[in-house]
Amino acid sequence: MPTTFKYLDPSALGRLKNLSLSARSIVEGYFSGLHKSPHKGFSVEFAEHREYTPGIDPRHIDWRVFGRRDKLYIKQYEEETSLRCYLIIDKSASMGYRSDEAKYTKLEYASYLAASLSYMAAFQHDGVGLITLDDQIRRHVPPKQGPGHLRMLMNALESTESGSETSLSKLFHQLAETIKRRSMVIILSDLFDEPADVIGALKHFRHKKHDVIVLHTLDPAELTFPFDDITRIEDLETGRTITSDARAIRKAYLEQFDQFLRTIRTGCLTSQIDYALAETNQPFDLFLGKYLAKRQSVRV
Amino acid sequence: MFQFLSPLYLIGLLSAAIPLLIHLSRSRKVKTLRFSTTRFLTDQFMRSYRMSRLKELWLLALRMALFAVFAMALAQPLIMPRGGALVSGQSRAVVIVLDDSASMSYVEDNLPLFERAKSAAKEIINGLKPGDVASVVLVGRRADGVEVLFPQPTPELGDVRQALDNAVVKELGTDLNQAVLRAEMLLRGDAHGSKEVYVLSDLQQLEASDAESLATTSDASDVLHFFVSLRPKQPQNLGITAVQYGASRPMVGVPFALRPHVRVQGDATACELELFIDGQKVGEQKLDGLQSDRWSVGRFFHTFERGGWHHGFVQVKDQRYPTDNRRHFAFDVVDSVKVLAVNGAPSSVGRLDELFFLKLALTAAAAGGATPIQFDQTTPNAIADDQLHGRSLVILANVESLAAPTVEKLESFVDRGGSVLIFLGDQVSAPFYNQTLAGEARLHGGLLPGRLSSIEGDPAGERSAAGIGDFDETHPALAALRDEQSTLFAGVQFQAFWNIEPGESAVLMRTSSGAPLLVEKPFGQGKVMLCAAPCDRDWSNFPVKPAFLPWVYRLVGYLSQQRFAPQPFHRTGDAVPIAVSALEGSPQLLVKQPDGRLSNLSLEGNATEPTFRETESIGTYEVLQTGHDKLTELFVANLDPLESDLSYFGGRTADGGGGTEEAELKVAFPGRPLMTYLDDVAKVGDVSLVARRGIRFWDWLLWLALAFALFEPWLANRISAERYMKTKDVRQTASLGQVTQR
Repeated sequence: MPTTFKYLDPSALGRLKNLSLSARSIVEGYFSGLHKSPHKGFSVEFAEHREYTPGIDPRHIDWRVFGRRDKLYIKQYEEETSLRCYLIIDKSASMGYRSDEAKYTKLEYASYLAASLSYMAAFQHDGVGLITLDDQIRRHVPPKQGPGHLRMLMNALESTESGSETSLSKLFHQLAETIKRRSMVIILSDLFDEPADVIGALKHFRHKKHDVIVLHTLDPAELTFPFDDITRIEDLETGRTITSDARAIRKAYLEQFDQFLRTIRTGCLTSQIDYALAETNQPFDLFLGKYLAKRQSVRV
Repeated sequence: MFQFLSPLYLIGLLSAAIPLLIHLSRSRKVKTLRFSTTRFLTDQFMRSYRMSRLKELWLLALRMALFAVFAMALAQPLIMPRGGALVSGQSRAVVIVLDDSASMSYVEDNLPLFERAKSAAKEIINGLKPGDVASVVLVGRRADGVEVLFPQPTPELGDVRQALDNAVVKELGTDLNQAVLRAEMLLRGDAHGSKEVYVLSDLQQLEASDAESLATTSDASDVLHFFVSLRPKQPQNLGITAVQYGASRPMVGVPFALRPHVRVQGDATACELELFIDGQKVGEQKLDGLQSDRWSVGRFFHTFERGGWHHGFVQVKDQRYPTDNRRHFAFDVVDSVKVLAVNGAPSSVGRLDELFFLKLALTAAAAGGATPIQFDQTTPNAIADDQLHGRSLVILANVESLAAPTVEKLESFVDRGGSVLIFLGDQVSAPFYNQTLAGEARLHGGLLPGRLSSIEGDPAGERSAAGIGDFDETHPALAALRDEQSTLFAGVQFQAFWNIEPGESAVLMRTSSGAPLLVEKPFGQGKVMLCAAPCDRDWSNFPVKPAFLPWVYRLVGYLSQQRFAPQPFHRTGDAVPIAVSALEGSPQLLVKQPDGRLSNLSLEGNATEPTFRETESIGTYEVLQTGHDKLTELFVANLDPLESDLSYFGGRTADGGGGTEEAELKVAFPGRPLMTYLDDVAKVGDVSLVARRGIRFWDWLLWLALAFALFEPWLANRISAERYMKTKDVRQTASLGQVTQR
């Protein structure tokens, strides 16, 4: 795999090589892989016995059970299948924000995460798709495997630029209806939309049996609002401007933001959605390493 | 309605702009921040924020008000109710410090300054109400101090008005500081709500000593001081501030020099001087080339024809300020001096006698006149007590030595007030003079002023050793010779003279070589003079030169005056000691004042000599013995020269340069914070009414400033707490880096 892609950092990937992106629930897939498929078949890992009915390949008959019980049973195996992973990247204007404390914009940071996750998925022979959206879905790359597909994803990430306003909840609902097969949906966004609507849309994914991961990508300045002096604040998405003493409005801002985070986090928790706050001032590989390790430790 | 007593401090109101400027400068630095979202800054929040900004504006206003209120408090505002109602309810104690010194007689626009001061004073009194009290202190410097017309501030305001009506300007100097202090003492402990001192004066500059004494002031911080200036707009004055005299005591038949000093202020360039003696005009002189703020000096010579007391004055004509037009003098002219001359080198040949030329000079008289000097002579061994009695001067002429008892007699004679004039010569025994007459163990260190060392020059030769050099022009005995110095002593040559080591004695004359020629030493109550040369022609040609006669006359006149003779020149308001009683027993004395009034003169308490204190008029005072009206002495009282100097606080003249009046007054009268300066007497009524009806609002302002100062940090902290308190770390909510447990 070439290393000339912007968002693929070999050193970071090296630190992530012992980790894997695994589904927490059974997912559908086409290929035998690391992920359990809901389609039981005749694979390696035994699942249960079932009475033999004519027409079934007699190779699956379990003769030892027949010897003990004098009945014909066949072995049924859980099939380990390939993961279908959708990386949904919010490329709205707000994702183009970067404060002095951060090295990357949120979109760049999300792209780094997405690239790393894509590489890991490809390394696991999982299918990876990419969806970018702002006020509408800008790019939809269906999940596939293979180096060529990964290269295409990398190119797609590199060509992604922050766009206009966000309509996350509407587009999430749309995607929930669009993605038919059960998949892992990784959302990389600041989720700057009405939090209740966002949670509702995320629940829609869950309703469709998707394994949903929210990597809530935020700039540290959004978490601390460290500004002083009289400031004219210009909204990157709406163009709305507010002139005020930044220091004076910090407390109120943080209270509102805390309420926003609380709503998102609680909604994810109650909807069994995996949630992690990705702060763009920390190395993305460090964040991803911690996150995946944690995820592996609680794997069911 | 406000009235500010120190309106200059209102400039401090500009300081109220400091918080605003800081605020605006801070507001101007608006940064532009492109931020991801403003969705968390809701409209509701922004409304709340604007309310919060309003609080901040309140804080800004509070800070501005703090500065403004403090500046206004410094400006000492008085609040006056509309309609003139007595809001403060304060009763007033008022002391009028009325300047009745001579300079207030200055006439401007046909009205003396003093009349303006009286009008202003009455206007202040008219503004008082029943229950108020008032007093009047007169500024004139009197022997018994400044005059207080009402020792206790009186509620009888009619009496105060009458006292003001009766007040007249006096020919006195100014004692402004004592007057102000007395006024403050009158108000000390007073229970009235408002204590006010009004100084109505032309505010002449104080003497340095007066200014220093003002540094020790009483606590007058609660007294309102109003200094009202009544100065002339453009002072014009010709005044005689001093007369210098050629000798301390005129002698009959000897021309007597008088030098009047004319003080000029304004545009006068010439003036006429007149000399009056014993009521008769005896001389006049015109002075040209006068310059403002300079002295011009005239000169008169007068020869008294008889001895005894004479008086007179020098006069200049000036209508605007006539009080200082005359300078009076009085002299006890010597008509008969008893001189005892001790001849140390007598000779049967007249011109070879040691005293020949001296006697000739001292006994010379004008044609038809009598000599004022009774000249007796004796020998060194024949000096007896009775010969010294009644004499004021003993002359030792080339005396070799004296017997010890004689020396003691002379010492006693001089110690009691007599004088000795010693001429040296070839007979003089230096060891006797140095060991006996200048012996350190003798009374007062010996009679001789200095020690004899050697003879300079050749007494027998023809060659001149020296002439007459410099002499002390300020000495009373020699001052009259000053103008004649260049020619008077020309041609005087000394073949020889004694070298004198004067020690601490004063050298009055020197030879042209710089050696002491005439030396003087005080001895007890008398004095001794020593001349390094003889009074005959043995060593010099001086006795045959014209200068010898006036020179020796003045020496004898100076040495013959009585030690107890009163100093006849005083300032009005001085306490004058009358010394004659000490010499002539204790007769009952009267003093006839210049206006003819008679005052008794008697001893006060344990005093050894009477003191006359009623010297408030310029002129000649006669001391008379009761009963037979025998004149014992004269003395004069003249105006304090400072009264002729029309220089005022804030500059040399009213239109001159210098500091501001108020600033100088505050320096001159320290410890008086509630001081107001008024340069317009017409405002005094308004100011007085302000003082009556006004509330000292600065007290309240200071309290308000204190309240603001205390409230400001509270409000600032409150706003800060609301806005800037430590905020919650929202990362905790988001469980940074944590995977949500399902």
